[in-house]
Amino acid sequence: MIKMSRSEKAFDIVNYIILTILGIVTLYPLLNVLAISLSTYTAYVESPLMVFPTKIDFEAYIRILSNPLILSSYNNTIFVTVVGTVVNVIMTVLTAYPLAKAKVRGVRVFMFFIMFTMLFNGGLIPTFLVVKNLHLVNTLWALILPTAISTYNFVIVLNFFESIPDSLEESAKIDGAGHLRILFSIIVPLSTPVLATIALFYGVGNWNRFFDAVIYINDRSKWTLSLLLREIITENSDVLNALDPMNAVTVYPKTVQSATIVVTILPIICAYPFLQKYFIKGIMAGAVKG
Amino acid sequence: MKNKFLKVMSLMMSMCILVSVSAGCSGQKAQKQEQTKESQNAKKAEPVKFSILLKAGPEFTPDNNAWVKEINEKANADITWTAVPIANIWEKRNVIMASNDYPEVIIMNTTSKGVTDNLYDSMVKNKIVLPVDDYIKNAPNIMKYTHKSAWEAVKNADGKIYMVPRCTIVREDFMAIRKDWREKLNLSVPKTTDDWSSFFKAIATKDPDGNGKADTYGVSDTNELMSSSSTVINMEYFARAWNADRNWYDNGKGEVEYGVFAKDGRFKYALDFYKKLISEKSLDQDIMTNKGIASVNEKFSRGVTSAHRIFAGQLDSQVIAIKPIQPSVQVELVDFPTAPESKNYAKEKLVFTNAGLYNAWALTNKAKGKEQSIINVFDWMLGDEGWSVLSNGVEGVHYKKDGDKIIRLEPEYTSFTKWIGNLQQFRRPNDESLWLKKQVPEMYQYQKEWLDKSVKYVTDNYVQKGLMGISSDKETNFYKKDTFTKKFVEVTAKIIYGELPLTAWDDYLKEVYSSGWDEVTKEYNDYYKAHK
Repeated sequence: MIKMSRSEKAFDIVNYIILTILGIVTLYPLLNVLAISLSTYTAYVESPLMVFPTKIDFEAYIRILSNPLILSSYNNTIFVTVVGTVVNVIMTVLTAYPLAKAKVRGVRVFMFFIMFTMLFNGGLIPTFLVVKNLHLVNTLWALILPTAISTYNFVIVLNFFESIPDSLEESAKIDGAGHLRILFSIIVPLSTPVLATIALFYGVGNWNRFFDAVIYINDRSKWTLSLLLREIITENSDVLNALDPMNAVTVYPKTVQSATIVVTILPIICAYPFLQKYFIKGIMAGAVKG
Repeated sequence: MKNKFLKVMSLMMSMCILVSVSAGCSGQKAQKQEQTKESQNAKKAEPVKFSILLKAGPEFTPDNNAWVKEINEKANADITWTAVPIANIWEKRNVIMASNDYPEVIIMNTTSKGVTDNLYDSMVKNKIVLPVDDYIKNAPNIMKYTHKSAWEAVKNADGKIYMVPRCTIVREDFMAIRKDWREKLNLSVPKTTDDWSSFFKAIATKDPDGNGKADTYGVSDTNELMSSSSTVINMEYFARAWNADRNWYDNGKGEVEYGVFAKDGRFKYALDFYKKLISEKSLDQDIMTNKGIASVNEKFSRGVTSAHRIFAGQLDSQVIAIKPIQPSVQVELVDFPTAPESKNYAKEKLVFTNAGLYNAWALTNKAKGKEQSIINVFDWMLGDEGWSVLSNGVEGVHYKKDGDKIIRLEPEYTSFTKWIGNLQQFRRPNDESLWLKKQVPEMYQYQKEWLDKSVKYVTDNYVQKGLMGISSDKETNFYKKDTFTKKFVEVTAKIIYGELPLTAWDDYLKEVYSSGWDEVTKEYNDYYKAHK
């Protein structure tokens, strides 16, 4: 066993202290939001910085969950997240592989057009017209297909594919494997960490999709969760801003806001532990070149 | 003889033919008239079909909605309600317009003063929206319940009207204070700015809520201070004592000047007042962290501050909000204060710019041919039958009748009443039942008294003519400049917190006028002289 010197021990202790403080600073807002969401308004007023609720009250959750659109919006959001993420990952992989490995002609041209979209886009109206002409307006596919590939995630996957040794590919070719066989039998299994990472990025993005839902969805039955929750908060804020003095509703926005945050992030927090190890591997994936 | 006979016969035959042709034609005419009447009757019976784009909260669903069915049935309409999320109504409306797939009736953006819709000018130019002048003449209810000032405000430069205003109550909002705290501290109702500073100092130092902590303040405001776009600015209430608020004033010589930017620097009196409140710790110390009016309102609802500017109709809901925390809560409204210097401005008069607008409805070119029918439906909405449906819902579903009394079948501010606010396309703006909800029955009379007072204040204290309908691009551009968006707050905050002397306001004023406010003032004066 290696004996640590005093300075090394001191360094470790300082590290632990700093990381503990960082951990508390990171965790505290989440606990505070959870506590406020489970409290009465009176309890919040008496102790706005609470970590634990003094008396559990579900009024804020009842207010949100009793909305007639909550079930449909959850279903829609789950559909967009699951299906959307699968589409996103497949499209990203199928785009990155030929540009990384298949040595196609015109790679630089393709890369230019793809990277161009990181800096410029068509704008709201032209994009809407494209989606409309594809008959996707007022369908959940309008939230999935137009944003099927994120250039940022594409670059992550592209870099990872480029880091995979060519020798693996060549030996597979010698054995008679074609491009698709190589992709799905060799490249994809080796890329699990980075694919899990981008799946998480895409998943969170799809779960939080709000503005696209505002623009493309007309039927309330197809609203996503983030849109519904935003509307619940805005409806109350409209009153408080005295924009319209008519609906002087008795609202407790802080508890409702906090419950809204919890309802939105809870599924992501539940899914994250299962993807955490891949996430960490994925982050490191491009850092060390073999 | 034979020839004569033939001639007579020919003449008689001609006469017969002529008579039979005339009879046939009139018969056809009668038949046509009858057919026209029948088809007209058939047309009358056929409901007018159109779509409306409007904002609505999440509780509203048009499908299987008893209220929607009632309106369609009684107004002889077949309305498709395209309800858009409140938060992003304008982005959504604009993409729908751009897609050319827009409905017959669309919502238009306005402020209380006039039309601010960014697509309005291009919609008029490209004939996307139709003039409604000829049709509203036949809409007596719309004419009766729309403010004259609102019609002026929506009139286009070409003299035509391209939208039907949706009106709200035109009133002044006074300051609500904690009556229970005032009485506990044995203070009288503040009337002058000195009274107010004494009142606030007592609130900050004498623990009116009795919790043993010095955690109460006189008043708060948003971190935007006087630059806020909200109609409720607490600090502005006090600036009225020196005619230094965000209103235009006739100086008694037929010229107008904007109070807060008045060249004589009168706003320094207000700044000095705020400085005093800061030094006595009676102005909320966290004022610069208050984001949005909701945070300021919340402080009043939580019993942190003793005063908040509020609409008379909302007094009862404030009491309900505070009661769980401080059961002894009582609130009262207080008229505008005076200051020793107020006599210097006695000859000035407020000039009315509030048209009482809260959005408007435009008919698009897709409504061509059915304009009058659509206007008739809108007119029905403001008639007695329509107004009852818009306000109360459907009998047996949302309310029941006990003689003349209406008994709601659900608590106030739940389901129906939650979404009806935005969906009421038209309002009878001065209808008491719209604003006084009687949530605290014993407060009703008091609220009614102050509601009437708040409406009367406008008619008694404002010059009604002169600036109605003004739309100034120069003013709009000025409000986008850093001089207003950043520097106004920065200079105000630094002065009241003591980082800058009061004279810094004079330097700022020079910058304001050189940044375009001079032109705005000239434009307002030219308009005022032409329209007085």
